[in-house]
Amino acid sequence: MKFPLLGLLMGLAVVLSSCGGDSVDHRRYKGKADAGNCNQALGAYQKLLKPIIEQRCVACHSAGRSGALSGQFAMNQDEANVMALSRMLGGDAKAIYQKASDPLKHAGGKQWEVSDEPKLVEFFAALQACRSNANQQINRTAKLCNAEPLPRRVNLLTEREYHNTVLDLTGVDIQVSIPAPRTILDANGNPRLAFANDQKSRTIDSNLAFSLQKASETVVSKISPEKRAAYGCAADALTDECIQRFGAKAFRRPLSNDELSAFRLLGSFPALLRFVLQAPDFLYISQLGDAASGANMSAYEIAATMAYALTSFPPDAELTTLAQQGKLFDSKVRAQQARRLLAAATEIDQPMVQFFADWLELAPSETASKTGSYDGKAVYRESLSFIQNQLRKGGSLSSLFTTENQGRKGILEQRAFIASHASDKSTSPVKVGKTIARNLLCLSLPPPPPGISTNLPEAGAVTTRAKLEAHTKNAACASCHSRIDPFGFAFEGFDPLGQRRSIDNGVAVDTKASVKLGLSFDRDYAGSKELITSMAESAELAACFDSFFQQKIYGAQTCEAQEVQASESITDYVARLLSSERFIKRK
Amino acid sequence: MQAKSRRALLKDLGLLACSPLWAGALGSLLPTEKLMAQASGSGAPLKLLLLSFPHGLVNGAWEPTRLGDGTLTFQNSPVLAPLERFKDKINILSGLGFENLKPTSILRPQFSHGGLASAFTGAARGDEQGAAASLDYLLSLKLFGADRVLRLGSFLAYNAPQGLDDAQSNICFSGSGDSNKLSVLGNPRKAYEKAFADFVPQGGSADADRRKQEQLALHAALSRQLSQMEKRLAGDELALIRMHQETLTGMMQNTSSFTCQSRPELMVDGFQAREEDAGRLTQRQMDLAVAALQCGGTRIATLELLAHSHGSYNMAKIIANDPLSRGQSPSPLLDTTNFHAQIAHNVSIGGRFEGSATPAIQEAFLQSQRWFFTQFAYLLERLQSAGILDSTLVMVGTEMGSPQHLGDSAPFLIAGGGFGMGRWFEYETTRVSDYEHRCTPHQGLLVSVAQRFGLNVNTFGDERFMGPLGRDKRGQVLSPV
Repeated sequence: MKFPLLGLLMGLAVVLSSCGGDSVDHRRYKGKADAGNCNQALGAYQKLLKPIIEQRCVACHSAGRSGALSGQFAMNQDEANVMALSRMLGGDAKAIYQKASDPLKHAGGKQWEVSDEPKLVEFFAALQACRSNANQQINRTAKLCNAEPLPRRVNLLTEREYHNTVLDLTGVDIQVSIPAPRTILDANGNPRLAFANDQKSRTIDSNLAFSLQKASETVVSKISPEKRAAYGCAADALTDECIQRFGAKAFRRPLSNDELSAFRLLGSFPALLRFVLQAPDFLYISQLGDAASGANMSAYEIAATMAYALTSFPPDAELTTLAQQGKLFDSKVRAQQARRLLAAATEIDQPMVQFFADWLELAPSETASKTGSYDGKAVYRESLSFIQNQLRKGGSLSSLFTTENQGRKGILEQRAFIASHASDKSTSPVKVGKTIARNLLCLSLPPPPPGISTNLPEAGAVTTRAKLEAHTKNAACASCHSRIDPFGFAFEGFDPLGQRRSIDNGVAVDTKASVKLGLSFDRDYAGSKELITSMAESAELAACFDSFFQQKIYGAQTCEAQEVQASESITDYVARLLSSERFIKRK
Repeated sequence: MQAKSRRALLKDLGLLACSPLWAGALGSLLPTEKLMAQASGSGAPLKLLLLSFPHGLVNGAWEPTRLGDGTLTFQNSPVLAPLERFKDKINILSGLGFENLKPTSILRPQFSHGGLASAFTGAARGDEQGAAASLDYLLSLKLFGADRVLRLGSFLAYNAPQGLDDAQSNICFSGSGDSNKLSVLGNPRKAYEKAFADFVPQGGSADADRRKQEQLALHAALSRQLSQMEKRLAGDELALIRMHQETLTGMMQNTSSFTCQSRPELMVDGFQAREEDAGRLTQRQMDLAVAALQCGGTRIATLELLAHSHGSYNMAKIIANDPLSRGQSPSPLLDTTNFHAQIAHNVSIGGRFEGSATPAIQEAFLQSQRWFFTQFAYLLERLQSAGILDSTLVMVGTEMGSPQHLGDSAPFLIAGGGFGMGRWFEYETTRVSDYEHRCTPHQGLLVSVAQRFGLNVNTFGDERFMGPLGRDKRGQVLSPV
């Protein structure tokens, strides 16, 4: 079955309304739910609705067709169609019936008959049982969702990786701007944080090709005689030794005899250097495998993938030697190497620190323009130091979020998190809440629905919280804001600069927050410290961290989840991930 | 909507065969008579310049006024006034909408961030940014068989060093899907180098020929390595490498067509990505685009001003420091880095100044948007000074019809040459209620422009909407010249 029923269980839990239920990235949750309840929903669909959907709905509401909600239904895709129905109009059977039976409201005309309404009601009743069951599973340990290996691919170097790679290869310090996306779309089609290495959003167009060409010319003019001599390339005339040593370093693998022959024709070292710095095998981190590695990446590709993931540099001598010896297919060796690379990463902006800064969206604090005395660079650096210290101490997710530092609890009470998620003059519970909901808990947040006014009267409200609460009294707004705002309200004890405050616009701040989202830590909180304490231990945070970390490591979203505990050291988690079979398999 | 593959889309448009991967067939697809058909009224080859600006406009507050004698004045519009002296060279197009963002046949607008992506692609749904191939890219393929668009931006990231870096375009796409976003140059120095990288004085030189041969050999070697990769890839992963391959193939073509004797001299250094420089930076990027078009380095350029609405910048600082805005006193409300949410979101109901918007908020919004039109006036003046205004079709669009992210009544302007100018086209728009309009699909404008450049299409970006722009409410038709 292409879309496993067990996957459907959690999927249903997350999409029952556009912003209701537990809209997590559903494909990551799978496992122990009782399939019986969802089988009932599937059975109800097949018995009651399948003919109607396939005969009357698919024609307009399928991929590439013109109907609203295009792409929702497909022939013979029962499970996907059940999910599509569950998303529709908040899963309200009556509303769906009324919509599609009203020729004035439904572009496709009257499609439901009176006798169809009870079928819809019966189906949604069955679905509700499935949903209730599935809700309970969100907190359970995530399992691999289908064990399918990632596809073979190549991943363009990020701007930072390009810089480091050229520096390592030639000793020349040069920057090339390699654009990266800010967001991508998640499995539900909603915006999701993107990392700089997102594999599917970056390609080499004429601007980037021009930049790379210019950079290669600069490197040719700046590479030192000593560096050239180290490769046996002191003279302009090419020797086989020069080609092989320089080429192997640049391509992160030995050259073939065919390549050696071809590169001799380039004629000179400057020509070789220009070629190499624009070559696909240099610019892309290859995960293609070869004849010898079968379903795995090649040993050299494993070395490069590990090195870039944990250091942003190409593989060092030790990794390269292990690749040469074929030892990186051994999971224990990979785990040891992962620990070694992490231990050696001492820079404040090393990739692991950068991952957390990206995940928590801390960078805006560095360049934010604030009203009042504010040193963005110091604020941002302070947060990076905090993360680095936690990692150096073998910290866990829990310790990262709960360790007290100068009266601030964990990374979320650091000035950088608050300042990044506030405007220049006022706090923004929505920005804080959105990042917590979307990035830390993987709650799926769609954009505002049609017809919502964003300029509702504030009715004399004074505090930021009161203004927002007035805004979200509108039921249409509340459906999503109830998933966002409580997290933000808990942080109203901080001003836009990230300093503690007790007064907002002359009125005492209210930091109480009530989380009622079907999460494991649903309850009332007095403020951010309490909320952080509960959230830090939650399975939702751990699973979401895993989701984003894997996205960063693989350069793409993946539905596969790795078990992670909030109290586990982050180093242990990373070592397990890189030593997994999945890390090296490609199909 | 299931996005069409890039190659399927190009095939639909009859362009696949002239993509660089099919360079061998290119010559036969660009017969002389076709190129002649693309000439402007002045006889010079018609050029295209696309501009985008953020935040949208408010209907009823940006359009011109019809005078008793039937002529137009821009003076009564706080936004359009800076363009008054060019009114005979401009067509105002009101009543167009991003109908593609709305659910089919349902009179409901769609709040979305897809407007920018839609403006020059005709595609996109809701918040989907993937869009489809943009007008500039497709025309470049048609005219040159390669992507030779000069894509520039101004102040692409808020108050940060990255503001001068290249960025992913919000309006230019080479096809459907995220992987097909094209990049924009934010740094005038780099833009200058790119625009005139292949400069060869008319008549050429032996040295230039030698360098060209070296480049060809290099690109052929790079292309061979890419081909090896392609053999082991499939699906999306393969599409990414094919785009790279197309880029290389385009670079291998000898398409240098400079008509000037020397590179233009422009000061392109000393800019920073900060509000204080935003005006000068914008004008310098405009200078660059004009110079490149005048010198024949390209026939298509794109300018993205201040990225999209959610790149927050302080408009008060921008206006106060812009040489073109001297004498203006920025509204205190513009002294914020949250302009879009604090001001733009609060100016209108259903796209018009109504409801809770105070006069101060309205004034602040108009002052901000007037700044963009001041920049457009500068651009038109530069084109005129360069003698290429009449041979350049300038098309201006924005990301939304009203600042609440609605696709209703999205403002468009065209200026320069290619069509008869000096008119205000009022296209059919049905207001149903607040936030609910049925507009004339802007895809018609894209079709009209594409056809003007010789692209044989009858739909653009969304096949639900067919044909070029028809008659407006007054019976006027956009007429090519």
